[in-house]
Amino acid sequence: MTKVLSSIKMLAAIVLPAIVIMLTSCYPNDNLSVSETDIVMVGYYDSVNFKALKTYYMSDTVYPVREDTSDHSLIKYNNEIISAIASNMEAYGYTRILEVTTDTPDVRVSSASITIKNVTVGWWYPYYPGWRWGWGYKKSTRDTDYYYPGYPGFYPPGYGWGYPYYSSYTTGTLLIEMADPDDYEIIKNDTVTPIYWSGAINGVLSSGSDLNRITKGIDKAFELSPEIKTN
Amino acid sequence: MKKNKLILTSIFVVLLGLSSFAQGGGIWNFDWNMGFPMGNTKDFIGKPSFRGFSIEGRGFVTEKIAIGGIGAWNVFYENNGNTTIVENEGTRKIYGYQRKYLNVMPLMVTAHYYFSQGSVQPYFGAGLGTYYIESRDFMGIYYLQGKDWHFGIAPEVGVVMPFNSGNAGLNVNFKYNMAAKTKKEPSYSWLGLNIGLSYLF
Repeated sequence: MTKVLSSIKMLAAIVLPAIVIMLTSCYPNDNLSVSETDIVMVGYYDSVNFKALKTYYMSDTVYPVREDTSDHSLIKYNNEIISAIASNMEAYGYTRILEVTTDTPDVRVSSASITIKNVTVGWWYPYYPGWRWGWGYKKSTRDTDYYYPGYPGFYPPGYGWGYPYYSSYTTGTLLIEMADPDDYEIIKNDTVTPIYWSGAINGVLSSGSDLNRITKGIDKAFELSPEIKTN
Repeated sequence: MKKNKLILTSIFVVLLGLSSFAQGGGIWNFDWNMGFPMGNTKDFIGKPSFRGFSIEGRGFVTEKIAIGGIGAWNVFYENNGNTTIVENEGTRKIYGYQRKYLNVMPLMVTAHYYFSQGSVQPYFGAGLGTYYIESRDFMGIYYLQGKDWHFGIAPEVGVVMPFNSGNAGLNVNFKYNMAAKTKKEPSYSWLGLNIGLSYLF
C-alpha cells in the first residue's frame, strides 16, 4: 500500500506542476520591456520610380493628433524628430527644399504624432474619426501652423492598411508619409494622392518616451526601406 | 456553429456522466500534455508545448471497449524576438518583438479498445469532437487574433500500467491531434505525448 501511495505521490509530482503551469497564464511571458513594445511599420508604393525623385518639402512641425484637438502646441522632441527625418532623407539622396514658393519639390514628407486613447483596431494606422491627412503647402510662418489644403492621402491597393490588429493600450505613434500632391486621382469625387511611402513608429510617443527610442525608430523605418533611395 | 458547439458539449457531458455509471467500471485519466507541432502548425509555432493538461473519463461498455469524454487545455508559445515580417512582395515590412501563441481546448467524445486487463493494459482509440483554438500573433503589444471551433479527430495509442495492487496506474499515450480547417481559420495538427495518472473504478 505504501508503495502505491509513493507511486501516486511521485506521479502527483508530475501532474500538479503541470496544473500550476497551466493556471499561470494562457499567454505566458507577456511582460515586455518598454522598448520591446515598439513596432516599426513601413510600406511603399511599388509603381513609383523613386530614383527620379530628388527634392522634398517637409513642414517643420510634427502634426499632433491628440484627444484635445484645441491643443496646438508642439509635441515634445518636435525639432529632434524633424531633424532625424531630414538626416535620413539626406542619406537617401533627397534634397530638402525649405521655401516652396520659389521651388517645386518632387515629393512632400509629413509627420504626425498620434497619441489618442483607446485605439482598438488598426495597428498599422490608428483610426481616428473625422481626421484626414492634409499636406502642408507653404512653409509655416508660425511654429504651430497646420494646413488642410484638401489633398487627403490614400493608400494604393495592396498597400496593407486596415489590419485587424487589436490592442487596448494607449500608444503614441509617429507617422511619416511621403507623397506628391500633383500626382492625384479622383476617387468618388474626392481628390486624393497616393502615398508613396510611409513609416509608422508605434509606441515611442507614449508618456514614457525618450528621444533615443524615437530616433532609433525613425532610423529603423528608413533602414527597412532601401527601395525609396534616390542615390 | 453555435448549435454544433451546444450539441457537442451536451454529448460530452452526457457521455462523461454515463461513463461513471458504466457497468464494467471505468477509468479517470489526469494527464500532463505535451504537444509537438506538425504541418502548417509547425510553420506558425515550431516549438513544442509543455503546457497542457487533460481530464478524461472512460467507462467500459463491454469488457474491452470503453467510451467517454475528454477535456483539455494546451498552450503553444514561441518567442521570435525582434523580427522583420516582409509582406506583399516586399512592399510592406513590419519590425517588432514577435511572439506567437496557440491556446487549444479539445472537447471530445472518445472510444477505446483495451487489449488486456492484466498488469499492462495497452489500448488504442480515438476522440471525435471539437477543438476550440485561439491563435495570437503578437508584434509588441499588438496582435492578430484568430479563434474558432474546429471539427477534430484524435487517434491515439497508449498503455496503462496499474500500480501493484491499487486502483491507480500510470497512463502514457501518443495522440495525433487534427483540427480541421474552418471558414476563417487554418487547420492545426500536432503530436501529443501525454503522461499521467489513471484511476480505475
